[in-house]
Amino acid sequence: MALDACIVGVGTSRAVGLDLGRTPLGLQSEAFQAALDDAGLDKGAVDGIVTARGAPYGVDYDEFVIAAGLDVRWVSQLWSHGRWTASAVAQAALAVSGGVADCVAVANAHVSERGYGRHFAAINNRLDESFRDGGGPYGGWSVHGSPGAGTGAAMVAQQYLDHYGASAADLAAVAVGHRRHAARNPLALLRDTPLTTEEYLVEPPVMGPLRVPDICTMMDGATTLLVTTSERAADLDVPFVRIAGIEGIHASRDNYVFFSRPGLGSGVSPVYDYVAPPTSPVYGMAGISRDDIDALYLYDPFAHMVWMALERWGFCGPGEAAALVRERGMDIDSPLPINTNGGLLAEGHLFGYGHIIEMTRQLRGAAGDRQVDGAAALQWANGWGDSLILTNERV
Amino acid sequence: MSTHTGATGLIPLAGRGRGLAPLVHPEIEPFWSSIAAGELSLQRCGGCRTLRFPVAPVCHSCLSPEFAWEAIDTRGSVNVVVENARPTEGMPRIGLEPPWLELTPYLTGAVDLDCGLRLPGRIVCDCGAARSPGTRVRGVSLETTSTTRVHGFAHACVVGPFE
Repeated sequence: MALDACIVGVGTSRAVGLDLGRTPLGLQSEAFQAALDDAGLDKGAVDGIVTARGAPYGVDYDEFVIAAGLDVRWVSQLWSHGRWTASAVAQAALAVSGGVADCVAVANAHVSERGYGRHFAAINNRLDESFRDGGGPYGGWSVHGSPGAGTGAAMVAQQYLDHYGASAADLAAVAVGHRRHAARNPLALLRDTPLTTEEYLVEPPVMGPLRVPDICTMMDGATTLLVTTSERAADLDVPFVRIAGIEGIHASRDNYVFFSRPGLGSGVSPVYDYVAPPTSPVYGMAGISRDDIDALYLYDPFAHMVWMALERWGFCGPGEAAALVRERGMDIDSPLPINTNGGLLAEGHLFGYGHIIEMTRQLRGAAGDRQVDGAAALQWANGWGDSLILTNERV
Repeated sequence: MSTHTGATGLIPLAGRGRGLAPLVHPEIEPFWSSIAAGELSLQRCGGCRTLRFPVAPVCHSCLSPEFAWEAIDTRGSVNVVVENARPTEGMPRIGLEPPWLELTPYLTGAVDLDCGLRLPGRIVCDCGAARSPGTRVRGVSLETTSTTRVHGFAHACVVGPFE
C-alpha cells in the first residue's frame, strides 16, 4: 500500500492561552470548525477521527463525535501524552491510504491545571504512571523526586552537558531562537515576551540545568488537521500539501527513555556516542534525502530536545548540536530553520500539532513574515525517532 | 526470599524529608520489604541469570518468568544528578508537585551500581561532591509520607566511609 495522504485543512481554537474559560470540548469544536473552513469542507465529509489527548485533559473521540454530530467509520485514540504528534498524523495518513476512511480529522485539545483544568478534580492526580515499579520511561520516577516529565528531562539535559561540555549559553541559543520566531507568530503565547541571551543567563536554574525559558508552558488550546487522499485533495481549493513520509517512535531499552536520543544513559539505557545512520526510512518513503530538508520541526517541551533531534537524525555528529545551534542559529534565514512557529517553548504547548500547522502554512507559502523562502520539503524530526516529511510537490 | 551475599545494604536515614510514598502491591511487595529490612533486593533471572531493573514479571533478556530476589551491593558511582530548586513566582510547576515542593531544594538522579545496573534515587550529600558524575555513593533508605521507605544514595559526607 503506497502512502497517499494530504493535509487539506488546519485550524486552531480561536485563541490559545493560559486561561480561556472554555472547556476542552469547546476548544476542540472551534478548532474543528476552523479546519473545515480552511479546507472548504462540510463536517459530513469527515468520516474518520484520531485523537491523542483524551479526557480529562482533552476530549475522548466518542464525546466529540456525539457533540459534533459526526458519523465516522474509523477512529483511533492514542495515549494521553504529548509524544504522539507524528503517530497520530501517520495513522490518519495510513487510514486514508488504505481506504478505511476518506477524510480523517486529527483532533487534539488540552486544558492545563492553571486554566480550565482547575475545575476538573481528576486532573489533579499527580500519580501519572506511578504504578510502574521503579518508574516509567516518561520520566515518572515519582518516588525519587523526579516526577512527571520535568526532572526526567532535566537529567537528560544534564547528561548531555556532562558528556559533551555544552554550556548554559548553548541552551540559551535554543530558548532565545524560539522566542525570536514567536515574535513573528500572532498565535504565539510568548509573542510579546522577547528574550535575550543576557536575560536568559541571569535566570536561575530550576530543574538541573534547565531555566524557565527552557521549559514550555502548558496552556489551553486545540488543533485540528484534516487528512485525505491526493485525489480528493485535488478537488479542493487549497494548496497542495502531501504527507510524503512517515516513521514511528522507536521504542526499546535504549529508545524513548525520558527525553533523550539513544546513547546518553537515560533511564536504563547504555552510554555511547550515538551516530545517526546515513539515511532513514522516512527519507526513502518521501524519495528525498536529508540534504533536501528546508526546515526542521521537532517536539520541544524542553530546550535540549532540539539537540536530541539534530543528533538523532544526523544533522550533526554526537555532541555537536549545541555548538551547531549556537553558531548557525535556527532563524528562517539560517542554513536549517527550526520550529519557525516558536515551538512549544514559545508558541505554547499544542502537543506538536502547532508545528504541523506551521509546516502546512510554510508549504502553502502562507507563513507571512516568518516564511522560509522556497520551502518545499519540511521534516518533523524528533529525538525519539518519529518523523513526518511534508512536501508541496505533486508526484 | 532474599539470598544474603554479604552485600552492602541500605543505611536508614531520618530527617531528610518525606518523599512520595510508593504504591505497594503484592507482586512487588518483596522489593519494598527488602528496603524495610535494610537491603536492596532485585530480581535475578532463573533462566539466564540476568540481574534486572526495573522490577518486572519476566526477564527482558530471555522472557523467563522464573527469578529469585537477591540483595545487591548498593555501592556505585553517580551517573547524573540534578537539583530541583525551590520554586519562585512564575516557575513552572512541572516536576515540583507535593510532597516534593516542600522538600526543595533537593538532589535526585541515577547511580551506576557496581553490579552493572543503573538505579534512580535521591542523592543525599551535604558537601556538594556528589553533584559530580563518578562520585562514589552507597545505598540508604529514606522516609516517605507513608511508613514505606524508599531507596536513595548518600555520599560519605553523610554516612561515613564505606569502601
